[in-house]
Amino acid sequence: MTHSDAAQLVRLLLEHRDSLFGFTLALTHDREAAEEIFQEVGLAVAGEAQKKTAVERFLPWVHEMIRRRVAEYFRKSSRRREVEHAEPLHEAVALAFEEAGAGASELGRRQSHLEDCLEELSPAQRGMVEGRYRDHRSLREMAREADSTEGSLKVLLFRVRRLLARCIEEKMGPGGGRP
Amino acid sequence: MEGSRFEDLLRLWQDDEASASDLAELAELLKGDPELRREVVRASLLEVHLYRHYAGSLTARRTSSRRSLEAAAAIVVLAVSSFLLGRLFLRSEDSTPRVTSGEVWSDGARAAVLREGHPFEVRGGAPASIRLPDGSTLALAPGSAGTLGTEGRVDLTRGGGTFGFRGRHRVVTPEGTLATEQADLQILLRKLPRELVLEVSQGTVRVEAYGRHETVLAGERQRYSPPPPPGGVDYARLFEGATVDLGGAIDRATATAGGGIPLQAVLENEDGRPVFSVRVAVDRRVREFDVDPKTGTILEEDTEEEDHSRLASALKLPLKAALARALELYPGRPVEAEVEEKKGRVRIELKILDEQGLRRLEVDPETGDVRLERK
Repeated sequence: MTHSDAAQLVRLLLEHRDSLFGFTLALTHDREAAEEIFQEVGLAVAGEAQKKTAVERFLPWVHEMIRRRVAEYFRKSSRRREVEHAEPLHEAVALAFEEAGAGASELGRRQSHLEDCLEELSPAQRGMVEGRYRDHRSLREMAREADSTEGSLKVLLFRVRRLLARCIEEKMGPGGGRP
Repeated sequence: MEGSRFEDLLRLWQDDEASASDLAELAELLKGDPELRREVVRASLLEVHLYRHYAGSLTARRTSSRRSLEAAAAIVVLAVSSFLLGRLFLRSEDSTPRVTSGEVWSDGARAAVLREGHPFEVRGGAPASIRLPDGSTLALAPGSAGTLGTEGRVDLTRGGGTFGFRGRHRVVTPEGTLATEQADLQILLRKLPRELVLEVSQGTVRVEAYGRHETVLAGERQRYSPPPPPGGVDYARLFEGATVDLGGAIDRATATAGGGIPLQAVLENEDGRPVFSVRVAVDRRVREFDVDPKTGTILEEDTEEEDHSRLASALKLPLKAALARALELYPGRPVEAEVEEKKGRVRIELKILDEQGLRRLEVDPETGDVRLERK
């Protein structure tokens, strides 16, 4: 199917915005960089929509646009080395997001389940998540306060995220767990 | 166990600690297993949903992912809707620039039409769309400001947006002038450091900015910023992509040193790489740290056998506090802070970059007084 209608292209962008931002965040691991790149991509899609560019497959097309911009970001930043080494991984991650292709309704359910799953965390686990995602505190600062090391905190945070991911999957139920 | 190895690799990758061989191994695992690919997507979406969940929190930063996501989406919707509206009104004989959506203020009131030579400003949290008499459309980001002039002139003093020009137009910005006859382009004016970002998606645009005269073609993206003074530092380049400021670099260096008194912090170009170089007096030594402005990580550290313990103990106002005091009076992006002793007097020298250029300030650590030395 070719998406050449400007409004349709924008509808697709809006429908997939969480997934596309997730893809950008996955490649950069940097929220602020991901936001900047995502906004640039949004404007670029608008530009293509105005030109009535014919798009055969929306997700691979936008993913390619995002990958080019992430590579440009890495080249300009001190993470230049990642351009060379991460290319096969970025390709695999793009494939993963294309297969998942989650739309707004499913992502809305995930967001809603997350809120319930956060309630199920222990106060210490929730404190870590809040420190990181609500207060945007550095791991170093959090580790110092917890009388721990940055490395230990990274592992703990990873485990909490895995707990949350599993909790969400359980609540999505069989067949609703895609991606 | 492949599952646990996958988790190890996923964590290393997400924490930016994966080596080249880890990245290659993770790529191979993902290529061979659709379930692992789904795991990666779930993990990434969880990050998005966590940021979004807390974005509405009172304690969350204003620049949350939700705001940015929605701002980007809103700009896109407006860009396209303004294009569609532009087409609808292409044959209209209306000769007045009209606000077709969003909140635009001019002459102290919300405006539905804009008059030549009267400055306007986009207010509220959403972008605004303006249709020009020739069918051209402007989708401007919130906070943008400018003036519409005669003969297709658009003065853009701040902000940016998407422009669909259907006739001869000139966009005049503080950073340079753009001219085109028919083009679709995006413009962004950055304040600190000053920069004009231009991306052309259709047509060509002629640019005059900072002594550069060039034509930007469709698909190209260019940045224009003031050249550094002769022998000076190109701060625009050093700040590109920075997420950590000088104060943050001081915090990181001090925390890594496990305490001590910061004596100097400076943003500089080291072997082509921007770094915040921070010196911290610890006992009778000085520990030096290079902090990455993009990630805040310590790139290098070194210890010098320099005894500044007397100077450090005499300092009544810490470097970071002096910086905060100066920024209250002279907002901007600090690029250098240094404790100095001259003729028996301790003082703190600061350099702060603002819209006008580089300010040099001196803070008296005894009184906290801030004095502007020179621009």
